[in-house]
Amino acid sequence: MPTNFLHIDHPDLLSSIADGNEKAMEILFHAYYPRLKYFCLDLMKDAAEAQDIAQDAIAAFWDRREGFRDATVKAAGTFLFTVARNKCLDHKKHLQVRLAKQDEIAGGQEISEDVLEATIIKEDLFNRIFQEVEGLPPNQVELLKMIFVEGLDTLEIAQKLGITPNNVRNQKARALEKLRAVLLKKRLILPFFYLFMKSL
Amino acid sequence: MKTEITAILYKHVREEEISPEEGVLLEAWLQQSAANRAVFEQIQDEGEIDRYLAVMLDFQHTENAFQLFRENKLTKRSIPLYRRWWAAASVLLLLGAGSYFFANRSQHVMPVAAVSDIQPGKAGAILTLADGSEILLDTMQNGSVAIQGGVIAKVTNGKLSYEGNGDQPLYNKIAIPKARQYQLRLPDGTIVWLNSASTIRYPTAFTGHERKVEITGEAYFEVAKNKEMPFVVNVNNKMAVEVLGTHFNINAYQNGDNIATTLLEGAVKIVRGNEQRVIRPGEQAQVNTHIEVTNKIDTSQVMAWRNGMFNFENTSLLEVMRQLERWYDIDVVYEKGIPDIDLIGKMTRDVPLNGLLKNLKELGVNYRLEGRILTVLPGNAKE
Repeated sequence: MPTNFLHIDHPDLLSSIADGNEKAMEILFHAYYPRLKYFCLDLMKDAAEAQDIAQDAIAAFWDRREGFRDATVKAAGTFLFTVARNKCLDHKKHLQVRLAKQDEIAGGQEISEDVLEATIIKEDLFNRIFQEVEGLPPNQVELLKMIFVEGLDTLEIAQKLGITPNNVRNQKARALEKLRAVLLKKRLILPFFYLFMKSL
Repeated sequence: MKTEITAILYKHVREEEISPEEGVLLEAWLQQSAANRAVFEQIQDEGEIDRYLAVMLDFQHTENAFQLFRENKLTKRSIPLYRRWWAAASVLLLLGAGSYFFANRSQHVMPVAAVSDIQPGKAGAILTLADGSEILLDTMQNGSVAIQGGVIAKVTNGKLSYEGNGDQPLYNKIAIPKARQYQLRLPDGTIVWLNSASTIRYPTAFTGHERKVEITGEAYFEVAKNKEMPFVVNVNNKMAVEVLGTHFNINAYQNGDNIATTLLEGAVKIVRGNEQRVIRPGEQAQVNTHIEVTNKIDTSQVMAWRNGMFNFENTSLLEVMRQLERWYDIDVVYEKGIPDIDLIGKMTRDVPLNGLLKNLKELGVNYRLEGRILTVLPGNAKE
């Protein structure tokens, strides 16, 4: 029985989770928690709620792990998104009486079936694009993290990594070469181009 | 359909050629709903994928979330076993004693013969009006109690309620002594049950943006819906419960370590200083120096008092004695520390004290009752 799972696609992942293997569960958690969080955030517009629901959905899976022993990871994913979707719906229904005004704007209407389905497709598409990011070398992923999570620009990244701005630009260019999805390219070119103009 | 559409959209964002068949599918999908068309717009907007990447690449947050999951779910695996072991041990103990209590346990309610002794609590309260005058509500007949600012306070079948629309917030207070409990209806229609040794302060008319009340002790709320005016319960001036939904219980007795808010229906937000948490039905928020939320709460146990019951399941002897002090207006002293005795079972709250004590003796509690002082003696009566 393997104890180290490097990837979500490992064939023994779900049976190991059913056996209570925490390492296997950790892999599944890391693969699905952010996806579920984004999905709920998009529907609920409330980060704290989205995090709670993502946790609850994975907890529901963990409680039923034995039933998924021989299932595919895809089936587990469908289960997770279905639980999250239902929890978002329930939650919206319960929040008819809202406290703060900003909550009312976000939580006013119920979520329609159409929106749920469309949001699932959107997440699915974004995840396909994201798989290209996952295929990049670690230092380039780190670079993207600084851009998208920390919101740093080229100069700030250069300072943080202790390398020259040119070096940062080179690494960005290398990431670009490998990322074929147009969306990502567009997003990366903009700050790069902007900096180039500024340096003229 | 879903996978096909995703594949077509993927080609589209990469500006790849799509086949005529795929074009037909895409067109049909776009015709299907406004939501689909909105998503089609969004995926071509770079701001959207930015948000996705910001969530997906936030590895530190995901790692923290996993640690939370580990604490809540994974490491708990050993605890249920431990708990089961203790539960089994306490059952064995009872079987050994051949207790009649265990035989009745499946029924959950113990019949107790009424004996003439310290009587159980009953409905009653002291109402303090805005002008400071006090009214004893224990033996009030049906009818009006007071008129304040155009609002009539009246008693119907032992319950206080308010009628009429006032425009000024005149504050009333209800204090429940030991050995009493009371139910009232606030001016907005919210129903409140107050347990022994509890208070509530509220206006005779809710004006402004919020419906604010203050409580101490223990209270169960069924809040009347009013989207425009949220309901806020201030507890011991230590924390607040902001009501998003409806039914919840707050236990804030000062001798307990925590203020426990248990939600039965709807949603409430617990606010303590800068910290806040939303809890869901079946969850309980414990507030001491910070907010901690536990799920899988036995709500029937939390609600036992309002349903006229004592529920001793998984309750410490100390906590049971505190409940008896409040309900029978007695004082409990421990001759030599608190004996280590596991209690189980439920019983109605309408029994005189001696009847209840007889049952506690069956469970192993040695005691001596002198006047209103109950002395808990050391040792286990069953051994």
